[in-house]
Amino acid sequence: MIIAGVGTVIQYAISIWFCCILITLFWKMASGEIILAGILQSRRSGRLKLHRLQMLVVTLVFAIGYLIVGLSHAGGSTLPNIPKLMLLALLGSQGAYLTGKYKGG
Amino acid sequence: MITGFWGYISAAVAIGITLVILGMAIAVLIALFNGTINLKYLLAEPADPAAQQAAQVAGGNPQPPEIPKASLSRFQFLIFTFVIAGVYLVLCLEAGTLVQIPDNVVLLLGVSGGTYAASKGIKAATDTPPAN
Repeated sequence: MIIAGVGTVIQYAISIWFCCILITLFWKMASGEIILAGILQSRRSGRLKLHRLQMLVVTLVFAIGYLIVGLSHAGGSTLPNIPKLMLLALLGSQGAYLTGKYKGG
Repeated sequence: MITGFWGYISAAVAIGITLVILGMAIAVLIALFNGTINLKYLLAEPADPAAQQAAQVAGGNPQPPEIPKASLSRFQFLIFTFVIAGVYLVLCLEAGTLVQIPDNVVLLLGVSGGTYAASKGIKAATDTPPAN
């Protein structure tokens, strides 16, 4: 009985803790306390770079998509799988980013 | 239902471990919130030495100014880590047991971490002046 109660307390506590961490990060990003300046620009020229923009878009789309699928998968006994083609697309995007960064920032 | 000596011992240990872990979690959260753990450079990488030197000359300041810039590789690593950790946490709480992680999800985290490491390597290589 007590052990089960402890488990329930941990469940609620870890959920609240995780949400608090996310809120803190988001709040500090939004308020500028975590530096986000220049995330899409080259280190050398300071110009907007396409390889950075495409990786940001692919990352956000992929992450939001996985979050939606994952949360609608509640009750399952496994994390939702990622199709190989999507993984390859992500790999290509990240490869393009690294190549662009190597070539000129 | 607790029965016997060892039942009380195990309950005390469970409560003790829970309190210690919760205490650590709360301490980390408070430190993050009040700035004891500085998050300013969580996503930033050090300035390009050439740009820093140019700004130093332009500003006439003997101390090199700090020109940090956010890193996209750090940002995507953070996003993927939190998304997968969050989904895993939700599914575990729903199922009441540890859920399985497919190979492709592990691969995704590997790709994300690999990109971060490669990005750091590229930056270190481009910042190092060529040897004569």
